[in-house]
Amino acid sequence: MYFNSIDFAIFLPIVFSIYWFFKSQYKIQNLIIVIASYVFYGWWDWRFLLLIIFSSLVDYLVGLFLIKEENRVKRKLLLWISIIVNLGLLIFFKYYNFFLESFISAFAFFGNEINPTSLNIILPVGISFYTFQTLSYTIDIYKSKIEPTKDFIVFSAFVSFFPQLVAGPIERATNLLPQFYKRRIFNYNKAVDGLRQILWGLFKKIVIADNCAEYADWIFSNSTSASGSTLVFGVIFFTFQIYGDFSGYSDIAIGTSRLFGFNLMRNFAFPYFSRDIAEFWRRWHISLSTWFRDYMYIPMGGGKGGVVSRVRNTFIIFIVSGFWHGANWTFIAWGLLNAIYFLPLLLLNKNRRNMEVVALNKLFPTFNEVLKILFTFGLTVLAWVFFRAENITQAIEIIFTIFSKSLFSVPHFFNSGNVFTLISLIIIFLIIEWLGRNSEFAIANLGLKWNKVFRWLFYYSIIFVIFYFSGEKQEFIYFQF
Amino acid sequence: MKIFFYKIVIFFIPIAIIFSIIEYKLRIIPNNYSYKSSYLDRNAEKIEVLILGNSHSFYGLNPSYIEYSCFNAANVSQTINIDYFILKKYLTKFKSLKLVIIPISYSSLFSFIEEGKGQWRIKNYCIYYNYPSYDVKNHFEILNGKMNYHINRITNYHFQNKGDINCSKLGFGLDYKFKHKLNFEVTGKEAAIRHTKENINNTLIRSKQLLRRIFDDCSLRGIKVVLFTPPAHRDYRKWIDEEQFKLMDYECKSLVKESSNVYYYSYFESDKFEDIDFFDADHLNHRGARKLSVILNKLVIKKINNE
Repeated sequence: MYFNSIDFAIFLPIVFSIYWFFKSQYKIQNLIIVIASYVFYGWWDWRFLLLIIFSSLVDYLVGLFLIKEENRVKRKLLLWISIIVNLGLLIFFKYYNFFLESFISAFAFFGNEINPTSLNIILPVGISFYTFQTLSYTIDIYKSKIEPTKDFIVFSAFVSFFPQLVAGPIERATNLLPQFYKRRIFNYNKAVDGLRQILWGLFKKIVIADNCAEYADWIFSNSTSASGSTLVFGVIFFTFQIYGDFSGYSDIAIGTSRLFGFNLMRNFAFPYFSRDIAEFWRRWHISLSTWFRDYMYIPMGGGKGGVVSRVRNTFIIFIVSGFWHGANWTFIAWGLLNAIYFLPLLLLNKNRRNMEVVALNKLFPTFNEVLKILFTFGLTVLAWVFFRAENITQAIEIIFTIFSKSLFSVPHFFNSGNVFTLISLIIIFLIIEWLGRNSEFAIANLGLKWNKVFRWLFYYSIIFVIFYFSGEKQEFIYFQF
Repeated sequence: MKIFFYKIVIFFIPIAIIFSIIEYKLRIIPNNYSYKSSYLDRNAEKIEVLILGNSHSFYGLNPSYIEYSCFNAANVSQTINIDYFILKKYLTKFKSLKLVIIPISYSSLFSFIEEGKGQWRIKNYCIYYNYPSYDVKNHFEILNGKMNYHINRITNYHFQNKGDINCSKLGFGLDYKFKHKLNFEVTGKEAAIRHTKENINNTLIRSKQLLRRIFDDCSLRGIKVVLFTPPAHRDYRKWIDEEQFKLMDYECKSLVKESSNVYYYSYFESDKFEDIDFFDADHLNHRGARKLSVILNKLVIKKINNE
C-alpha cells in the first residue's frame, strides 16, 4: 500500500479510529498496530508476510536466549545466527542475481563460459529497512544496551510498524521499543503536527518528486542523444526527485507515527543546504548513516587510529552503504565517489565544522556560505549521476557529455512551458524549505501564529497545489531498496 | 480527541464538496464509453456484427463498410478480459448477433488493461459499464488523471461545448487521419518496445482461458468469431520480438483448431497496406481502415452465409 494511494487514504482513518477507540489499553493498541501493519504490508503481496514473520520470530527468540546466556561463545553464536539469517535473506532476495551475473562476467573475462541458473526472485518491499532494524535489536541486546522484550506482539509491532516499515526511518530498538510499553495519550497538538508533516510530505512526493521524475526519466533514457545542458537539467531534476521522494516518504511516515502517539527519529534535515559533504551526510538519510556509524564504523575503529585505518574504514562504510541501496555497480561507484569527497575532510579534521544549521537566526546566508552550499550541491549532483544511471558506462558518458561544448546549448525541453512551471515550483519549494530550516520539517512552524482562517487557507492552497500540479504517479524510489 | 475529529471533519467538508462537484461535472461530459454503453443498452438487439478489441480495431474497422448491422465496441487499450466482460454483459440482449470480430495484436495475448500504462482507463468501464473492481480509484473520474486535465475537460465542455466523444455513431474512431500522421520510425520503435512483454506465460494462460470462454458462449448461441491480426508498418515490425510474435500466431492458429465457429486471419505483414494507409506505425488511418473493413466485410459475408 502506497502512502500516496487512495487505499491508504481509506486505511489510515479506519486504523486511526479503531486504535484510539482503545485509548487506555496499550496492549490492544499494539495488537491493532501489528494487524494493521500486516494488512499494509500484505497489500503488495501476502507472501512477503511469511518473510517478515519469520525474521521477527528468529530475532525475538535470539533476543530471549541472549539474555539468559552468559557464556561468551554461545552469546556470540546466537548473535551470528541472527546476523546470518537476516543478512542471508537480504543477500538471497536482493543480491543473488547480481553476484551470479558478476561471476558469469568474471569467468567470461578469463575465457570460461558458465551457465548457472538465475532465479526469478521478487524483491520483498522494504527488506533492507526492516532487516537493519531487527539487526540493531539483537546487536543492542548482545552489547547489553537494551533488555529483550518478552512480548512477541510488542516485538512484531516494533519490526512491522507500518508507517516506517518499507522505507524507514530505520528505527533503533532503544528509541522505538520502549514506546510500545507506554500508555499512549492522545495529544491534539502532536496529531495536528503529524497531519502537517504528512501534508508537506505529500507535497514533496506528488508535486516535486513525481514531476521531476517525468523529465529525469525521459532524459536518462535518452541520454545518448541529449546535449550537455539537457543532461545537467536531467541530473538536477533527479536530485530533487530523490530528495522529494525519499524525504517526502519520511515526512509522511513520521507524521503518521505522530497520529498514533509515536516519535520516530528524524531522517532528513535539509541536506541540500549543507556546506560540505560531511554535513550533507549528517543530514541525508540520517537513520541509515547513523546505523552504519554505530554498528560498523565505530566497531571498526571509526575515525581513530592511523591514516590507513581511517581511510580503509571510510571506504568500507561508503561502499557498503552504496551496495545497501541496490545490487548494481552504479551504487558502489556512488558510494566510492562519496568516500572520495569525504576523505579530505576527515583527514584534515574538518568533518565536524558545520554542525549548526546554515545561517542560524539569519534570513540570508553569507556569500561564502552560498558558495559552499553550491559547491556541495554540485558534488552531490555529480554523484547522483552514478546512482541514477543504468550502468557505469552510461554514467561516464553522461558526465563526459555534460562537460562538453553542448553544455552551452539550449536544453532540449525548453520549448515546453511545463518545465518552467516545474522550475518555479522547485524555487518555491526551496524558499519554503529555507525559511523552515530551523524546524524539524519545513512547515512545522510556518503559519502557527497566523489567524486560523489564513492558516487553513495556507493548508487548502497546499492541497490545491498537490492536486493541480500532481505529476504522473511514480513508485517511491527507496521501495526498491 | 473529539475536537480533533470535529475539526478534521470541518476541514475536509469544503474539499469533499469541491471534489463531488468536479466528479459530477466530469461524469456528465459525453465520452466514448458512456456513448457506447448507452448505444449497446438501446440497440443490442439489432446488432448483427460486433467489433471488440483495442485501438487497432477502434481506429481500424469502420462499421459503415460492413453490410450488416454492425457496431464497433472497441476502445483504446481494451484487452481481452474487457472484451469478454462486454460480450457477457449484453449476450442475452444480442438477439440478432451473428458474428464477433476480435483483433489479436502482437501484444493482445500478453497484456491486460490492469497491468499496463492504460490502467487508468479501467474507471471508464467501472463507471459507464458497471465493470466490477474492488479498487476504489476505479470508481471515480477525479481519482484518475491530473487535476489540470480534469479542469480542462470541464471547461471545454461547459464553456465550449466540447465533449470527449471522438467516434462515429457506429463507434469507429475518428481521430486518425492521414494528414495528422506521425513519424513511423519513432512510433514504430516506441510501440514495439512497449508491446514486447516479459513474463508472458501467466498472461497467455489467462488470455487463452478468456478467449475459450468467448468462443464457447458464442458457440452456444450460434455466433461466429473472427480473430484477426491487424496490419503493422515495417517500422513497427522490425522492432518486435520474433519469439513473442510466433507464439501469438501459433496460439491463435491452435485456438481456432479447437472450435468450429472460430476463424483466424493475419494481416500483420500484408502487402495490401502501404505507407499511405497508416496513421502511425501500428495504427491504420481512415483510408487504411476503409481498406481493412472492406476486406473483413467480404469475410463476414462469407462466414455468415457459411460459404
